[in-house]
Amino acid sequence: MPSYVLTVNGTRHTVSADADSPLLWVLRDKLDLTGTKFGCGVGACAACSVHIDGDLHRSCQWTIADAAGHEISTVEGLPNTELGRRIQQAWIAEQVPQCGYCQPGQLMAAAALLTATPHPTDSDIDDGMSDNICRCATYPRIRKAIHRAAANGAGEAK
Amino acid sequence: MSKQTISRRQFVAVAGATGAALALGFDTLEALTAKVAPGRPAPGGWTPNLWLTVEPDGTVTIVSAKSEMGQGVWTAMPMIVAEELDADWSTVRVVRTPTNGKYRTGTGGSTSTRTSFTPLRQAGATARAMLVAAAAARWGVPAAQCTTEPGVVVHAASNRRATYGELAALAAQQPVPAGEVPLKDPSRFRIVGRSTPRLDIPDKVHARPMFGIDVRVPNMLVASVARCPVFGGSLRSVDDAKARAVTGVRQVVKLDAIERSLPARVAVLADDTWAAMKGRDALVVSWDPGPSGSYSTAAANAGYHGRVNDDGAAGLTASQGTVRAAGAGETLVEAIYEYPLLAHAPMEPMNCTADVRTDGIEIWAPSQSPDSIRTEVAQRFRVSPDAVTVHCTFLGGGFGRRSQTDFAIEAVELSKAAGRPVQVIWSREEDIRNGFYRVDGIQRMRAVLDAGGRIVSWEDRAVGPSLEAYAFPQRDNGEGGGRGGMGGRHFDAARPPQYDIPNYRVDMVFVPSPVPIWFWRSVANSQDGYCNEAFLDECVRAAGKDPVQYRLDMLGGNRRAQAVIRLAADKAGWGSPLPKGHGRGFAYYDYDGTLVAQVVEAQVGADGKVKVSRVVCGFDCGQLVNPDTVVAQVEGAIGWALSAALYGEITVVNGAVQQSNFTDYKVVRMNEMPKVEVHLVENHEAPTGVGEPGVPAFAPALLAAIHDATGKRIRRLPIGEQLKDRAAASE
Repeated sequence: MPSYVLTVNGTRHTVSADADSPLLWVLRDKLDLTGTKFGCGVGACAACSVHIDGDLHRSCQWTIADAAGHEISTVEGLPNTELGRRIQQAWIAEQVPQCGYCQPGQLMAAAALLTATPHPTDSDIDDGMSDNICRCATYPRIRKAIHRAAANGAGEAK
Repeated sequence: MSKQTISRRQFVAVAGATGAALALGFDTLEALTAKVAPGRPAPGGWTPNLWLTVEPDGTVTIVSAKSEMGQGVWTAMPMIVAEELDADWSTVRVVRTPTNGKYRTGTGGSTSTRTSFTPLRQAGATARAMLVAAAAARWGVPAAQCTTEPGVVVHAASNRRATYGELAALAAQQPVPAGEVPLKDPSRFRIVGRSTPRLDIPDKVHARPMFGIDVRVPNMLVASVARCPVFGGSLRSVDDAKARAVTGVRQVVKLDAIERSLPARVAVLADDTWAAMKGRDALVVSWDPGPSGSYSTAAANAGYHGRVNDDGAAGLTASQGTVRAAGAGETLVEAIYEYPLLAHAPMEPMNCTADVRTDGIEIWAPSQSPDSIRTEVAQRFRVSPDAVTVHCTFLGGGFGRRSQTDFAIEAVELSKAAGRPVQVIWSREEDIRNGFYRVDGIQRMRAVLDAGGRIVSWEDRAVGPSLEAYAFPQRDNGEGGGRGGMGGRHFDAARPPQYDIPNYRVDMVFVPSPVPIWFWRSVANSQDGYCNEAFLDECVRAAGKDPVQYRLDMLGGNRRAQAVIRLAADKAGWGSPLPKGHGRGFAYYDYDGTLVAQVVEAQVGADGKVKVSRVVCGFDCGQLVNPDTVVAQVEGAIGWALSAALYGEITVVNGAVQQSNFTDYKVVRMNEMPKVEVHLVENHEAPTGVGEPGVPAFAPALLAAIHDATGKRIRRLPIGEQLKDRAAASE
């Protein structure tokens, strides 16, 4: 079994896995980073969203061979940034999660959206968040929480 | 479900019980547990009953016996105990105990608050009375002179105070009060009825391991399972050579079908999930489709139409007065409404972890019904229920699917075969194709309107499989249906009209089906709300009346219903002008005592796509426990119902489900979610359900809005492509 070097949330890991192993299962099973969630396995629900070199991607669609050598951030790394903490606080303030299972993916998508667009309109939120499925339909609160996180970051621009 | 009450004898019996040990036996799910759970207080602490422990430091640990699947019971149930205990909410922590037969853990049918409210109040009030008695004994004053503030007993006359923690050991020595302890006047509630941040949300926002799929047990294997795609089929042969060659695969296990539970299967057990999935995909399996190999939902639907029109004997009938044909000057309104099979598709794919050992069976399950798992596993594997421990994790969605036990039985089968712990993880495809579905069927609705437009005769003939007979075989009435009857808490469509209609007849014709069917958020109400209220809108239009006033007129004796209807209509600006091309629709539904009125605003694009812009909901569920949670549940119920109305459909061809994943079993996303405005009625009536009741009124209100916007009637769900060629849509 080949071995790969993965950088996840700033930490380097050497992982033995088949080349076709999805990053999702490497994170969950080999690195015990269970925050990233399995929802569909075909890139249709975005519960497994992570950031790779700062861009939003679905970890079920990346193999370990593809991901090796790139900077990977997962939901566990969210509190490491001011924006991540601000988003989490907004999520709590708006009481967003119901069952909570899709929320790691929602949070990662929101972080990508607010990085690219610090003050998104409703239309921006539709564009940035519609890959992510929530069966509890927490969408109205996600929308509010993104606006709240954006407002709380006003003027800081860190 | 029968009422739960706690007898004095039970209080005494459990005072020294130690059955509730650590909530979960592994560190990674630490968030679920507390170091000290009820039954194991620290020295000087006190566990007065099944529901709470008071620690010497004042911490109050409260048990939540109900499964948390997003509906907020993890917070709401403890709020009820804390209210009557007069606890300081900031000192409250919550634990879930292992399922040990002492609690009624089943969570479904929107019953948690309804059935737990009074027993939990009694539990809190009794403990409070004993803390007061302890303080009175310590100070040598009459208990009647003592009062409580949050977490403190106070004797105002002597200006003395003692915290609950200080009093815990002494309280344990007080006699349990005889009879029921007086409960607070609801007007004095300070926790119940106030929006309270949910205790599970911080862990969810920090993505801490808390779901079934996050469970890690030392030495466990992961299983991925090939399941017979045809309902009722069996395994013909399997070549597992390639599967065994996958690195990490340890074992391949053939499993027989279990009636009403699991299909024939071949499981691949491996060191990790990906190896198991690769191994499963490498199996070369031949299935024997069996007797249902030619079943299709299209043919079944044609059969339903035959039965609805043959006016043959019904399996169950409810009637009042005498239904009749339209006389001179009267109008007959008639239509057939159709509804498909639906999957639940909770975001967390089905999964379960089991460890079968010589000393017993331990199960970690995201389950709505851990008691059922314990009982059924004990029966099937011939062990004592006391040898079965079920740890209920948080659920990544339930919606009724997780009140089944199939996924847990399978994990036990595989752990037994492997001789070590096994975690079974279902793919989304297995979830969609091998589920238990909301029943399909059709209903023929008929109404006779008198010259004044009033409904004088109402007929509803429903045809389809019986959920009650499937779910409760012991209640099969011999006619293919259940014996539960109609109205109130019911499992089979249809139901008697919820309005004052002098003559009605409701027939249910049951048609057997090989498709496994089960509870689906709001159960039979999802069909009944749709058929009854969508058809009522046809009656309203035929009568030339206003949909709101027409309903108010038929609910003359029901002031709460009228109030919630007026609330929704007023907040929505019922009757005010809408932009061109937009329509507005109304529906009302009494969900087992929870009264729901919805106004939906929608438009239909030139491409036939429906866009719902706004939903206004009036909601009366009696005494509110955590109002913000109620609002969230109604928002979620509307999103759930919108998915079903627009897209939801499972079709079966040659005995197998055709859909596979979110690619072809579509659900709504952010850009399709309307603005939802929820208006709660505040009162102190007995609390009723919250999680499901927002569902049934939505589809009929949407269809009425579509009719208002376009003049087109949709009578078959999902809406799908029916409006694509708007000129061809039937009126």
